[in-house]
Amino acid sequence: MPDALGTRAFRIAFAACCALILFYLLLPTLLVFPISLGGDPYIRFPPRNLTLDWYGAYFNDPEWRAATFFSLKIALLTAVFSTAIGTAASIAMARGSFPGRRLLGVIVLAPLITPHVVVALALYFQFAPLGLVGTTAGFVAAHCVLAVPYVVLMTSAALAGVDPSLEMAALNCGASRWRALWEVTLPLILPGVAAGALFAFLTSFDETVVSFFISGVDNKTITRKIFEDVDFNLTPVIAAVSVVFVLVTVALMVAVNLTQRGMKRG
Amino acid sequence: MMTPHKNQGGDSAALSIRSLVKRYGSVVATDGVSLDVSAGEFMSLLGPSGSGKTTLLMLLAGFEVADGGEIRMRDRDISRVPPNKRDIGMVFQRYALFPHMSVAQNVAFPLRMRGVAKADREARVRAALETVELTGYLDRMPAQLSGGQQQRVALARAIVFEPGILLMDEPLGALDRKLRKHMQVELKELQGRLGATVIYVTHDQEEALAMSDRVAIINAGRIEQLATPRELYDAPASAFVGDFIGEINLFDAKVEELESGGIKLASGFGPLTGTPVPGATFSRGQKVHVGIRPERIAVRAGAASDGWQAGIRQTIFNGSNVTVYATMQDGQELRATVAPNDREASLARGEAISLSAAPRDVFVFPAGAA
Ligand SMILES: Nc1ncnc2c1ncn2[C@@H]1O[C@H](COP(=O)(O)OP(=O)(O)OP(=O)(O)O)[C@@H](O)[C@H]1O
Ligand SMILES: [Mg+2]
Repeated sequence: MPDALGTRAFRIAFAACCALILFYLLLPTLLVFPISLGGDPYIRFPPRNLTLDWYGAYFNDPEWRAATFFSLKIALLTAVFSTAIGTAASIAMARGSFPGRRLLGVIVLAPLITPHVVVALALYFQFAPLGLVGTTAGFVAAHCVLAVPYVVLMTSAALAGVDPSLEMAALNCGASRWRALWEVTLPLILPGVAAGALFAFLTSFDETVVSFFISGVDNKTITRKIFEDVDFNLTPVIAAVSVVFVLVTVALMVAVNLTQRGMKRG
Repeated sequence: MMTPHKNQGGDSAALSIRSLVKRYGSVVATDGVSLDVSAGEFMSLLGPSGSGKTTLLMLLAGFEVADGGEIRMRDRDISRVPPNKRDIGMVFQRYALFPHMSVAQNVAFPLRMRGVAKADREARVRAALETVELTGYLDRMPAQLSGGQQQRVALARAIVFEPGILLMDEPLGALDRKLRKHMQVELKELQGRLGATVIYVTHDQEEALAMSDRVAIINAGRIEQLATPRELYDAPASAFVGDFIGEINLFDAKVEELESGGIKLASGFGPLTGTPVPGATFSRGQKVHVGIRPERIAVRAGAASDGWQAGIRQTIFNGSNVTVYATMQDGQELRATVAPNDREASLARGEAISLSAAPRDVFVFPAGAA
């Protein structure tokens, strides 16, 4: 049948196009993989004399290790706090009936569309007099501003799928508002909450601009450390760091995807 | 009940509602509703879509707060009591079973919320599931049950904590016709066995008539009539009720004469005598609505001198009876039912007939109240 053939040819062409675009977009990221294996003490492509030494150098360098652990710590704390704040906010917005509900929604999501430089500058001027620059608390607070919108988006989507009459049924069964939330609503939106937490972690871990502004001498994130070394100390270690960084990010994205799939099925 | 309290009905009311009002913006969803439900009574709220049935249930369950009036349960004003502190069970329209809990966990939920001990809980869950004839499904998840089974679980969950009143919002609405009929009988039996006081929302008049001790006909947030199914049918209080319950011929007429035996009326097709609905007063010359049930109209072949002259427009066979569509002298149409074996059932189109109805079967309603 020519019709079926036509659509089939179109599909193949379309898939090929997509593949090409994806490849083009991914290419720069993929390049760091071979570069990180090069035997020369400077960035070179294609690499010669393959080696894993740069990975060893990364893991053994106290500064890189400190930056990595600091980033992980900030990301974890950001995930915890922004998930709690974001979930509470989206429940309030979805189920509450207080004045200014709409406005709250706009304010919560505003950091999504505000350029990070603007957020970074604003936070810097706020944090400097408070002594929060370069502190864990400062980083977590700053990253929560950026991560909460993602949590709100994820949990709101999950909440929209929960029939409000389930919560009414729980109340009718004698549950307090709090218990209805804890025993009925939260378990049902758990996949959305988990996806939100992972997204929050990722937002913090990948964050560069704000971290650049509020990093201190001791407490700096891995992204800030990469920036510094690109300027002053460009070796394939950076490529090795980038590879690890990309792998962690990809793993988290996969995890987000899996929880979302669980949400659709459940 | 410790304090014998007499209300208008004289019997003990499980629930009394007084002048209840609920507004949504400019919409008055509940417009001064008052009613008493006796203990053990099965009462239906019946009315067209948007008439305020669900709103009334939400007010009773405590999910909405009334703008005025009060709700009393066994002499306690519960208008301001939060939903989780009211002793009222509810079956939701789409069951609202907790999808992440098994059948046993769903039914145990109200007991757990009330701090019932685990051993006691299990026994009561079993008993409740036995009551609704759904044993052996303890560990199933709601998604693994059929609609009828989910319905039973919802019912078990609502009765397991032995609430004083059971509310149901179109509980059978999602079931197919056959299962629906079956569940109607079962629900009614179960209610009788438990002696439960039930308030049941439906917009299926057949269902309301079949199951209820009394039916409240709701129209635009108000109770049009609250009576037994029989009374609703035999003595509708308004043209709306007459039209809503069963079949009725409605037409306009004018009051000619007020007599002790009934009202003499003039209609487009001739004079007739009717009975005024209770509570209405009429005066000579007033325009009124008249309602006659099709089966209360007598049909005779030929042009008799004492009836309303008419012509056959059509006869339609419905199984147990035949509906005669008659064209009256002024051109309007009346329906009458006759037995399939009557001679009148087999008349041809255009043949002359005469119709008549006894004065007590001719309901006279005030005009404009329809
Ligand atoms: N939350 C609400 N906000 C605004 N208006 C409402 C709300 N709930 C109900 N109404 C209005 O109140 C009126 C009564 O609604 P209700 O849901 O009680 O009707 P119903 O008799 O249950 O109808 P149905 O048979 O369609 O379920 C309707 O006009 C409806 O639009
Ligand atoms: Mg309704």
